[in-house]
Amino acid sequence: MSTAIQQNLEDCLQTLSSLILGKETQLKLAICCLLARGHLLIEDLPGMGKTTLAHGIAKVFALDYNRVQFTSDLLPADLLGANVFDARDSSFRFHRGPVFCQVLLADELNRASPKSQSALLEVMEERQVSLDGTRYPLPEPFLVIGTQNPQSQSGTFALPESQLDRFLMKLSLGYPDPAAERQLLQGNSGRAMLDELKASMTAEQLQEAQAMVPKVRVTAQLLDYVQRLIARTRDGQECSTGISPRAALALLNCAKSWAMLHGREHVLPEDIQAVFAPVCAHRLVGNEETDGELLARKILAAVEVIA
Amino acid sequence: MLKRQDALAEQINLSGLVWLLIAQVIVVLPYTSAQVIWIIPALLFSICWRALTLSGRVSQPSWRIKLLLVFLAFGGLAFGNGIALTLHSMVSLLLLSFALKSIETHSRRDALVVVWVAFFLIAARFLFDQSIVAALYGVVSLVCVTTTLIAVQNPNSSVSSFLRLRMGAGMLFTCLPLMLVIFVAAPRLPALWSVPNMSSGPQTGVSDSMTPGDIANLSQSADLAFRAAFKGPRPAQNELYWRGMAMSHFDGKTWRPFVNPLPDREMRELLSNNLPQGESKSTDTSRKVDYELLLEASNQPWLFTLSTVTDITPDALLGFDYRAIADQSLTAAKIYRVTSELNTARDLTLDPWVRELSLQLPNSGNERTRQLAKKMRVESPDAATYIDRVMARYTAEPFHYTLKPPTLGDEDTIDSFLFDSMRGFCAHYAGSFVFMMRAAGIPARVVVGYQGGEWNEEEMYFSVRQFDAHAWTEVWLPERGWIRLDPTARVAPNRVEQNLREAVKDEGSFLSDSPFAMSRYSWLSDVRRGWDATQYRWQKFVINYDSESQLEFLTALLGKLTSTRAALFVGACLIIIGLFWALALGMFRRAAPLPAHQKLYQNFQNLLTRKELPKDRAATPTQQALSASKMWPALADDLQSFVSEYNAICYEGQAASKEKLRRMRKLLKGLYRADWPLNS
Repeated sequence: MSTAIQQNLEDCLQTLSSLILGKETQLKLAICCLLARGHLLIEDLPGMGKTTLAHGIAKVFALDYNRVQFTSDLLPADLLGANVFDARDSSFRFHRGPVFCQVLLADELNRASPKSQSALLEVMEERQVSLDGTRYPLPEPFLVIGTQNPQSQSGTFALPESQLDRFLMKLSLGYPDPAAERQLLQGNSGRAMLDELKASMTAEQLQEAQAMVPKVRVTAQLLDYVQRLIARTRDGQECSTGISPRAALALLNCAKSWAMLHGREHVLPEDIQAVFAPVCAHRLVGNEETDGELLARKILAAVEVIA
Repeated sequence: MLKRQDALAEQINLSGLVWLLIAQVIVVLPYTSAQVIWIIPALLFSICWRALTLSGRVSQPSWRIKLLLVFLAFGGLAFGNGIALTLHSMVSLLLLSFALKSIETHSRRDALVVVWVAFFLIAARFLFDQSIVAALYGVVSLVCVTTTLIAVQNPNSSVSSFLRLRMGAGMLFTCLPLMLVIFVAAPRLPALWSVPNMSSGPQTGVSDSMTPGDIANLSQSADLAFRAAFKGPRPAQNELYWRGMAMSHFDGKTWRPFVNPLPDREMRELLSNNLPQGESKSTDTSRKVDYELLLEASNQPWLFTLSTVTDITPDALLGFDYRAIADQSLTAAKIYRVTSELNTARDLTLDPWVRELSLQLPNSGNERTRQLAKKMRVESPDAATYIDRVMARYTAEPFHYTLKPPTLGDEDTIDSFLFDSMRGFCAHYAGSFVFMMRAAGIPARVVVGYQGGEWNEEEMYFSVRQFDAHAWTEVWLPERGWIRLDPTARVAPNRVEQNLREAVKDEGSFLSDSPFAMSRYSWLSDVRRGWDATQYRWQKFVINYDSESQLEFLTALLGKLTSTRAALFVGACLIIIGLFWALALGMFRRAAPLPAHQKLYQNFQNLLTRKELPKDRAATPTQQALSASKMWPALADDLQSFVSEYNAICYEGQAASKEKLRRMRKLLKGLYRADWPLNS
């Protein structure tokens, strides 16, 4: 692996850490998600720094950034754009919506109606917008960071499993620890810093890094472990719905990115364990356990690393 | 899990049904040759109905139609065969029910009934045919029916038919060794019940009367009559006169053994009460031959032996005219072991009543022959010269050996043959010769049986076929007893020295009415001989494997046969079979051995467990090393380098070189010896 890119990634992580304090693991996972070309779902209470994180990622990687606030009356056209009649030359012209960017922050995704949710999810999968028979490709790289409030909050439309599956990872930031909170209160972080944030990496460098992910080596022994994990989710002991092949692939991709982020050219079982919960938690449906996170931990603890 | 009742009531699916129909056709097919011909139409009818029902075009037959079908079938059977309770009619009944059952085969229970009956029918087929072809066909049918059973029991449609077929064949193949052991070693008890005689079976082979004048075209058949295996040197081809019976009575047209055809029992009495009175003695040229006769089923009691029989097992009746008769008609193939003395002088003195029998002639008729005989006898100084001159006449006059002689009418048949047509086959020559002898007052008789046979060098046996049937003569002379004379040999030496094919080569009439007989074609002789030898071995070693040959075989195999040895043998066989099964079913299939580095890591883990590191199955190697390092900081370096070596091989994909393994072993050894301070 080229050490330059390794260094760049380190810098990005440093910068983001100074923006969001004490959440190094979540930041790493977020970068990891970006490297694996996946979309990120952040579920947390309001005011935990979700938006700051999304904004920060866009800035650090010098990506073009848009934010859409999802509300119950948001229409697909508000998101994707629309053909508008131009009186001057008597023709329709396509007005690009906010989705035409490199990082889209879909804020409070679960407050929008299913119709608008679907419009976004389609864009996430196809990485293009189709309107009136014309296809408009989105810029590369393209990352959607969706945030959602926990479902207990009022005025939310839960995302169905099929759409949750489009998100590579689901993270939650959680409350900061006391030390980080203290620094925050002392004014050493926050929105103010966001404007001063400098890019540590260009979009091209990011794409280069993304291209390196598939080259990370995976041995048969590691695949055995991954398969044991997958089998465990499918054998009905803990889960009623197991991991799909797409999710299994996602797990491996994330583990590769994680390994790369740690400067390794091969995947270790630790990498799998690190990304297992974020990748799988939102896709698993438990028999009794309703909390995906706990379910994922249970499965990890039950499966032998070396059989 | 379905309950048993539900499982039986479950509908069979298309693939199961198709297999069922295939199995039915295959099982019924060989029966069509011997049993009711219309079994196939009946089967096809019910199969078509079932198929149409399946496609939804026709509704299922109502009980009225079924009843009508049953009556029709039974009626047809009774009309065709009568209502006798014979094996034949019972099997026909079973076949018909089997064929009609397919019309109402819906549930698994029905299908199982069909399958079990199919198994039974495969076995029953061997009552009629035990040839090697029948056995091979039986194996094919078994595979097919077993596959059907699998298809019916496991309706999973994703399993391909080929896979099912392979499974069925595999199952049977797995059972094969057990079958062989049971065949070889299980006691061969005499049957508790006997197969009823197939009285309707046709009698084959030589008949007990001979009317040469009526036959315009001798029909020949290439069917096997018997095989004769010689242990020692075999007699020459022209010595092979397989004697059946003597025909002593002539009514002017037909030759018979006695005046009237006798019922079996009386004939036996007559033959056994008049055992050879006249003295028989070995001549200088006599020699003993031992041979085994493997007789095919003929539904007749005649045995065919070389004269004179001195010993025969199993016991058979030896008549005064030197014929041998089995205790019962041969409904199945049978082996006889015979010792004969060739060239013995028989009946040096002749019983008066035998003399009378051997001089009998009709009161009148055939005057020309009588006159000729008288004239020639007067001209000859003694009987021997007379015989030579009569024989010489067959070559001097334009006699011709043919299988297509003209018919000779009802009167004076001998006259018309000897003076007019002069064309005929063995029966004509033998009959006219005996007439000439008797007319001159010399006791003589016709003997029928087989002559020659085809030698199979490989297996050392003769196979004698129906077309080898022959008639020759015996003449009695004082001091010399009965002498065998064959006038046919004078006219057509080829017939006796080679075979019938050579004798009628020019005529082209050999097996002319059976164009597909292999024997007809000499260029096929190698194939024929090989096939014949195979059949011979099958007959000898499989069909005729009875308690006697079993004892012989087991003695040859185990030495002296004691019950301990037999038990040990069977036990050993069963153990070997058990092992074979275990092997075939994958009991010994072990997981691939662990690679060296995995083994080392296992030892490493065991070591940590022994040192009471809390066990965590989800811990990765690195994590384990870390947590161990925390407990024993002094060993941290070794622990971590061991694990990183392991990770390099296991996850980095580096080759498990000797160098690396050596390092791992060294580190592990160090850890074994290291001081592990007790945890506080």
